[in-house]
Amino acid sequence: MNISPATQLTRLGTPAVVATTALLLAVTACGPSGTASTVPSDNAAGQGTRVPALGVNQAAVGLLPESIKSSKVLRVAIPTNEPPTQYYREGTQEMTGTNPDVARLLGEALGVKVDIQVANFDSIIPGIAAGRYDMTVSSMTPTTKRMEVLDFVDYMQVGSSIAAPKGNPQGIKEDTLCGKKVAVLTGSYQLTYNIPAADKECVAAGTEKLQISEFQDTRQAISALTSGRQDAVMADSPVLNFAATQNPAIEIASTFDVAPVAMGMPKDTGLVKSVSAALDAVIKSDSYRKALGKYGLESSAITDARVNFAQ
Amino acid sequence: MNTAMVEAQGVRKSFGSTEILKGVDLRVERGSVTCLIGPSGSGKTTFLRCINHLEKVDSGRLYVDEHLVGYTERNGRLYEMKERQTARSRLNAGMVFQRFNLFPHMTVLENIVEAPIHVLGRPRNDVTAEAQTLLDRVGLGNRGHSYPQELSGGQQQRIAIARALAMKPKLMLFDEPTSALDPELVGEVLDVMKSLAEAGMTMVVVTHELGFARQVSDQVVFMDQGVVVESGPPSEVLGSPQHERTRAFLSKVL
Amino acid sequence: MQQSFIHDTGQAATAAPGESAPVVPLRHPVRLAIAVVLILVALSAAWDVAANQSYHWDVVISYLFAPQILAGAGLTIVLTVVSMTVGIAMGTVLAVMRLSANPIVSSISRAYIWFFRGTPLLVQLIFWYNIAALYPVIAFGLPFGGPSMVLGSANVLISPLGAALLGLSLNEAAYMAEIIRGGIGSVDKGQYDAARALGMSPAKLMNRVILPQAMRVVLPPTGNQVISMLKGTSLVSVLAISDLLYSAQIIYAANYQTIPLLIVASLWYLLMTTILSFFQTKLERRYGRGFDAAPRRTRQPKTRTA
Repeated sequence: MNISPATQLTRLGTPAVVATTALLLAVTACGPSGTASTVPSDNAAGQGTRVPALGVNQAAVGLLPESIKSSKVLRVAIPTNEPPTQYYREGTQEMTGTNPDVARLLGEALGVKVDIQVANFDSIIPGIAAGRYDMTVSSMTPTTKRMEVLDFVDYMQVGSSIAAPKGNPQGIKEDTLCGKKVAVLTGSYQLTYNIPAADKECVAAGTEKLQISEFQDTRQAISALTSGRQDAVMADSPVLNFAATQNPAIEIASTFDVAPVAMGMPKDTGLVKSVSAALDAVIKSDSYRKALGKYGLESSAITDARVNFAQ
Repeated sequence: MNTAMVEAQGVRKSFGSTEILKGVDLRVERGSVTCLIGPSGSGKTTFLRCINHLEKVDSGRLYVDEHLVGYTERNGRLYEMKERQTARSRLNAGMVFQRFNLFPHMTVLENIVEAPIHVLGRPRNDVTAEAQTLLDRVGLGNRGHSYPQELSGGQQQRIAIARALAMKPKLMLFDEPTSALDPELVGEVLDVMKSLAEAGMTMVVVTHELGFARQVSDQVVFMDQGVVVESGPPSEVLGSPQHERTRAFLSKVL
Repeated sequence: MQQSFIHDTGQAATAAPGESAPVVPLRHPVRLAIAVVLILVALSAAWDVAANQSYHWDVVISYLFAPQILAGAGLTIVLTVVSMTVGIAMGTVLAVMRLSANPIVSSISRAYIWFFRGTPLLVQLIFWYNIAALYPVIAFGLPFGGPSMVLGSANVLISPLGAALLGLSLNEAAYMAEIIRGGIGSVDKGQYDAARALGMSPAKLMNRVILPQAMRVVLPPTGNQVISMLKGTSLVSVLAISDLLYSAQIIYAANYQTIPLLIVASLWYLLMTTILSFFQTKLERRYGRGFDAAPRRTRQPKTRTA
């Protein structure tokens, strides 16, 4: 068959052009997404979670803000290394843990790609205000004060644990903390709720209040415990229970008071509507329970993803 | 018995592996003016600095006012003096430097009273009155509250002389006092030095000012390559030098 | 041909011989225009910042004098003052030691400076705070099992604040030692000659002659160190000590008003830095007298005539 040179050129040329264009697009798509510590985007096929993938929830998709509907990408800010809530899978740059995994499930339900941005807690709120992130999944407790800044949708529940030195020489329990030196994390649920409640009881019983030291980091708090500076550490149970498995010098004295934590998103985007609809579907799914189960946190599952329900 | 203010016997000094003073013998009588002349590198400044122990003598003996400088002699051996003793022994001699070395962070008066108050422990009022007298003597009585930076080189050097005199030394050492001055300022400093000599101060002056040496000094010492080549009254050393090297030096300079 | 080189404009004010011609100073119209533009830009930027709602100035104002913020500011000042004072005092000693002719003395100083400049301040702070993990009890005595005198438990002897001050001071001493050593080195060697010739002992010489002159060179970098320390004290947050910045962080961890609270902290830091800079200028002027061309009481022209 005789093919004219023009057609021949077109036949060869077209694939080449297509290939080059695809290459160019791929290169630009792989550019940095804005934060210092970026992580390659995960696609929604559930490959990060090793948990059955969720189907897309059309009702929720319909409620998405226009910008996300068209970009099909959800930029989620997650804080830095804190096993098992969020941490790098060993030897990789891939984030795993309850927060990234549930975020990915949300992405599947919304039919969007979840772009996990690891950031220091201090820059998450300004980052949301600046439009660098669409939302954050960072174990935040929804309070009335915080609701002035963000909308919240519950996604799991978390208890408080108390850690003491191995052997618990002082016999620490949640009702014997009066007058003791207790380490907590800044802005934590324990600081906002458990401590004032404990103080009230101590004062009523005529004993001293707790001597609180606020740390920014769980590991600093645990160091202070093992060096004798503090009598006990009170923090979220997933984190503290996990730390106790890694550190033979401490043990968990008790776990109590389970309360929900929520995803945060800016108030003016209306993202809360679609996230709420999607989460309703997520928490009913098997994948959700399996995802939490990976870290031994099945008891952290919730049955009602409430919106802006103040603690 | 020695009546010399300064007596050097076979003084040797090396810096590292280089020997600068190769056996200096010298006598300075009390109340006399001795001028040390010679080419640069001859060791004259080094020898001068040995007199008040700013440089350590390696071997030989150096006496100032009949005391051995820098060492105490016991059982025929020389034991180096401790720093505090050395500091005290420097009180015998006052020194004036080529680059004045006034304390820039103090006023003129403060410069002069600093050592009498803080080293000799004398009361401030007495010392200040004496300092003012010294300033008048060098012709700068009204500059007591100025800072050295505000004064000319000649003025600064005159103040340096006053500062040294404030310690009432027995001996004054001058290390090329006019070499760093503009020519028109040299005269005022030499005048002060002349009046000091007339007042009977024992002076050892390293200088290139041969006119001054001829006029004022009782003894001119020509040094070259670490030894004293020739010494004697100025009329001899400068007028009719005995040694070839002296003649060669003078012919270059005069 | 006789031609005048000076082209007379005829009308121009050519001075008659004997009269003096007034000098018109050079004008800088472009400079003036640029200055006006810059001022307008600055004013409009300031207005924009003040009117911008996203700064949440209402939140800033409400927390500006909050008790935790004031307490934090007070603690920052205390930490800075104490650690800089100890740091400068120790640094002077270390600098003189470093310059000593005694090789043991100078080596000790060198080793100290090397170690405390070479390790991060954060690590030093955490070490002092958690020292009981390594030395539960502090005791003095002879090594290798000899008799010792127990002073007490490490955690009791060194409080958290004590650990912070220890860490900050010892670290600062190493940096100050180098600055002061540089200052001492900048003093003309002739000063040593003059002081020694006047019979001063080494200690007198250092105190009365060398160090005062070194001050002039030492002051600007030291001012820098003080202002650095002012911010550097924020590291004590890892010891759960609430300095100014940490106090602000604690507040915004609870109410998520991150930017407004960081502005509150920054305003306080700016105020403290301004005050410190003012004092630095005064000190520099005092130690620069005799060196720099400071305005004198009598306006004498600097000529070389007596």
